Amino acid sequence: MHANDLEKLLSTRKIWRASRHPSAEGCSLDSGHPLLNQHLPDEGWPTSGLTELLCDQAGIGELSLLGPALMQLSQKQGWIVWIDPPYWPYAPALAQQGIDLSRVVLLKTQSQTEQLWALETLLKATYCHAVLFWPKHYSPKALRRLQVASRHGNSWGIAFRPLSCQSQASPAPLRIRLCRSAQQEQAGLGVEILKRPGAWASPTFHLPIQNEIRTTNSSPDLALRKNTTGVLTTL
Amino acid sequence: MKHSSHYLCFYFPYLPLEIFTLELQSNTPFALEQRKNKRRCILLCNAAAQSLGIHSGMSINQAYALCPALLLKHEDLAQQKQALQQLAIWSYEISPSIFLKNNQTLILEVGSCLKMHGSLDDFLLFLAKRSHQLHYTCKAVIAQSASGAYLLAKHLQLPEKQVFQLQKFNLNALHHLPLSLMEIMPKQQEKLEGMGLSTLGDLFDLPKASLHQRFGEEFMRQLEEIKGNAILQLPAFILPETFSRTVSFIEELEQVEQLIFPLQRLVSELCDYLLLRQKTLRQLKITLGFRERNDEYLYLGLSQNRPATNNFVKEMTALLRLKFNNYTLHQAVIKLSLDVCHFFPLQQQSDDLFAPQKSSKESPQALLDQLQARLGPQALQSMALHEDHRPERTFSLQPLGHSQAGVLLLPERPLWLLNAPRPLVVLNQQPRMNGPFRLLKGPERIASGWWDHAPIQRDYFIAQHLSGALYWLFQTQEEKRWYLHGIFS
Repeated sequence: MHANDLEKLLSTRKIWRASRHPSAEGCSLDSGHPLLNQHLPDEGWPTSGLTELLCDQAGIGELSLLGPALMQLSQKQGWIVWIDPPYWPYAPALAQQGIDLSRVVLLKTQSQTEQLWALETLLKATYCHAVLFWPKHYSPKALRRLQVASRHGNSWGIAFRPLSCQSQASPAPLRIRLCRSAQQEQAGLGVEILKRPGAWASPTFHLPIQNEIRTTNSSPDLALRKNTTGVLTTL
Repeated sequence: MKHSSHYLCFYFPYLPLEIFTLELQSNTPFALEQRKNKRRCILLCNAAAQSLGIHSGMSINQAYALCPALLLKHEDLAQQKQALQQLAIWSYEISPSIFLKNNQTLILEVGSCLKMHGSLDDFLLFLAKRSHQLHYTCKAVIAQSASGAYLLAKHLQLPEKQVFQLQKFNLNALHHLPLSLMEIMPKQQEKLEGMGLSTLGDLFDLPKASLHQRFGEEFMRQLEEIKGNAILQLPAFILPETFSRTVSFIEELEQVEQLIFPLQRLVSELCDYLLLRQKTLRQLKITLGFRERNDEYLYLGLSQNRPATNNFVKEMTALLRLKFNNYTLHQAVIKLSLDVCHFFPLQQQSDDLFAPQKSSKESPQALLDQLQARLGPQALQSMALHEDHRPERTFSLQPLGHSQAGVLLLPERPLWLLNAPRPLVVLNQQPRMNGPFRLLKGPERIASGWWDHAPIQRDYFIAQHLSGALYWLFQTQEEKRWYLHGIFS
């Protein structure tokens, strides 16, 4: 049989080949930001273990930072669970980010015990790809359990915590501090990796997140707007 | 060739007692009482009671004198029937033609299935192996006639400390059985004694015609049945359409944990039932009975039809354990039942031989069941998009699994939406919240909803706060009030 025939046979796609198997996947997720990829271990977000995002202010782009990663995860069969988020995750905006809504699950719990139980169960479950949570007063022991669970289930746990937690020890292998200064508007979202496996902490670098909106020139003047209230606008 | 007729009889001598004592510690003396000639006396008692000198037939007063702490109960025929039905389900694997007798006996026609086992001896070996699954004391006999096997089983002696005894007999063995085993009227019994007859053999030797004259049609039919010449007149057992099992506890259960063990046994019985009927289930109902309260019901709903798989019992017990985690027992439980009314046909699916490991590890249904059992069915939700311009109505929360994909062409929207718009302070016609806002983009006018009594007329702006955060604000058109509605996170 000629090599040509073989190629022809293979190109009909009627033959199953082990190399095309989905189990041979990489273990890191492209963050969608080349600069961030450079600083992350394995050049991307981890797919298991806890990741802490420390920021005090909602609205600086902390969720947008995860957008491309969540988008990729939502392509795969499995869940992305939000446990007791502080506000409603707004479905149209998630869809705008390219996230498949059928994979997004909201979970409401009644107490911290339930919350921890649900977190551990979900992180342990292989069906769940990522869990977003906002821990309040979790003990280091509880966080360690979650870290073990997420390693066990190969799921990514993303904890949003206030900056005040920076000084506390944490079992999370990746800890990132996010900030944005109003003065350096054009710089973008400030990212400082506090802890990462295999390297020292990084200096602060800036990612162009939300820059498009923030640099819009069509900033309306309120006084001017008074005269144009009758204007028909985009619907 | 017609197969030789063989019948297997399972006789459960202590079934009335054992349905209670299964949940009891063996060192608690326990007995069943009955009324005989207007006198209360002991029907059956367990080993602990026997060791104190109590035996069946003894009067209640005498028994109480021997053991003041004796637990007494009346026979519970309904539960006994349920237990026997469960045993019939269990024995379905031995033979499909099963007959129930006296709430205490199963008779199986096994002649037709001997060929499958090779020989009678192989069949006996198979039975001896299966007998380990029995929870009850059992005497089993194989003989060529159904009634004969029944009488022989009744007469069979259990060796000391053994709970199962199996033996095969040929019909000659019937000759030595005492006549008192026959279930006939006391008057007839006396008459036989008066004639100087003591064993079945004596009876067989007498001419049929004169016996017929003295004892009648029914007696003769019974005799022929014993000899194997007449067909057994019992209704065949048909599998019930629904599953319902009840356990009563002699000692009240005060802790939720204690319920798990009997539940596990009921679940394993349910598993047998599912296998037999090749069905799947979606919901379990558990009823808890109390002494001074109305029954309470717990429902365990499953996200998907569940067939009886290898780890069915383990998984179900784990789910029930989670369900009971949230449940507080207000009073001690005296009765527990497990009911399933609706079943679904089993659809066999084949797995992918080369499927990646991940999918075989765990299904979303198992995870969902686990979460819903503990947190309630409302805890998990998914989102769906709607074509509505009002920000609050562009999405809705739905039970998991009902999310619809939709495409909405909208300008930038914030990732966080506040549960309700938050009013802002206005200073010099500028909205403020611990500092001024700088409006970056807008207005985007949303005027909609006049048709369903929730109209809005708002101008939306994207604004940057002093702190650097990006917000979604709106001003109402009529009152010119400012509100915060979303966060660009």
